[in-house]
Amino acid sequence: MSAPAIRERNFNGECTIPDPSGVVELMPAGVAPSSFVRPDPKPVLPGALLLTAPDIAALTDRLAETLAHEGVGGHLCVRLADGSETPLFGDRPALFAKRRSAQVRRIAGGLGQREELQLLVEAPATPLTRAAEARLEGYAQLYLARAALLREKANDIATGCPLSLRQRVLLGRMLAGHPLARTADALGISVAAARSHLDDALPALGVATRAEAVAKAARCGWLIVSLPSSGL
Amino acid sequence: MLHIVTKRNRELYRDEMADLFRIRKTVFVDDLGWQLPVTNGLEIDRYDDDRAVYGLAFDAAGRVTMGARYRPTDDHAMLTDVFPHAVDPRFGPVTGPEVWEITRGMCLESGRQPHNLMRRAIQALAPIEYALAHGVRWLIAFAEVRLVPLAIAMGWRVELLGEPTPFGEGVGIAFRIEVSEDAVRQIREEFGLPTPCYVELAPRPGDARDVHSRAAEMAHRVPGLAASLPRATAGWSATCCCAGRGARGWTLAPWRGCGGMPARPRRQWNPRCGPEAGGKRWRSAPGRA
Repeated sequence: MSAPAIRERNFNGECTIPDPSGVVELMPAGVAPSSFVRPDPKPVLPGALLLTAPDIAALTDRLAETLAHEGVGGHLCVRLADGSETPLFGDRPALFAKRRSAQVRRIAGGLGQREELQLLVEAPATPLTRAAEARLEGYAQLYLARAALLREKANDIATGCPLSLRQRVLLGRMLAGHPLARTADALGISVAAARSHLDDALPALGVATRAEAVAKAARCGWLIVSLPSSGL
Repeated sequence: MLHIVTKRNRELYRDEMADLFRIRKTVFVDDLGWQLPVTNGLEIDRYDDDRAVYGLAFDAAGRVTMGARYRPTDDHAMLTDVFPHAVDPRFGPVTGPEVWEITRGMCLESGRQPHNLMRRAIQALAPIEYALAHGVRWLIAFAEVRLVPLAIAMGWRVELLGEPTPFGEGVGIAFRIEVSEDAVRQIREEFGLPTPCYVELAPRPGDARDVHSRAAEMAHRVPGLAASLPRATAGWSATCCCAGRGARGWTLAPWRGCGGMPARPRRQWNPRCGPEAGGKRWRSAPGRA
């Protein structure tokens, strides 16, 4: 006798799960399949994955996977400053040497970033459709925005507690009644980066809200309100 | 401070609404090259009906500097009428009684001073705050992809609804914005914004003051709101309305310039005459009635 199994209709159709207890049909007889199928789950879009990448490595992997679907082989993020280019990160560092050739396409970063980042991608072997071109351009914009934010966050200082220096300052000045936007500006980071710092502080402190984070940091003496090096 | 303009008080804003439609034409048609209907120099479409709500900000001369249109979607919506292909069908219906749409957004203000940031943050908060007060749970939008990170930075809780899609000369993407007390509170706290951050003037027969004078008087009664009033400038110049300022629009695209539209202020800020003097903070600009 073959292995007993539970058959259950799931999001992707039918799946079979081995079960030693016997064959169990979860769908009652006489019930139309359409009334039993659960609705599709909310789709996870590539753009959303790019916007939520927790670190540079994850961001690189997610863009590489997204670009592969469009037939684009590799990418590299570069920084433009003072008329020169600096290679930063990506899955195809060799693109930097070829950046002025026709084999490489360049996509400029979006608006409102504190540093100018561009994305180099390997030119597709065959011309992309208009829709694919739009996806490439759009995903590049989302990638570059996330890359800029992650770079801002990376430039932080570890301290002798679970919080980084910026997290301690952001929480401390929040308690003192300063809007996050003003503190972020004084620290030289974007509001989005400051918000992300605070989001990271919650699991580090084992709390669920910013108010709880302030309270716990205050109990432990970790809050910083004044930071002369930043003019705060 | 943002002015909310609805069917109920639109008569008070007759000049300002004409200004808005004229600037929309300059931004979206002349500069961005969108194929939109234009009537007598005004960009007005089918969504500019009685159900449309506008959030407008003005400079010290009374000119529109920021604006957006919010509208219920239980009858129709631009996203589903014009860009249905931009929404992933797996999301199901994205319009409905608890969903409004935000379109024709534009921002002609820039600057990095706290006052500048506060005013731009109010443009982000006002639609959520106003929609929340009207039982809305989501705002939907279709914007150029480059603007989405900016929207997120201003505190919008964005959920993408589809893949980047070509439109006109740009690449747009459909998304929705969470409308909740928590979202409102977070933006308000992060940017230090007043409650409320907008004024909605009611028609008041016999009150001859203009909307700017009335709004300024109201702003001085709300803690923190007066700080978001437009800053006084010395007179006005006949230079390009966005000279030196980075203008942007959405449903939309970044504005690359206004094409030299001349400034046409109707009023001047009168810094020596506050609400204690009857709210006469505005006076006619030279050469204007």
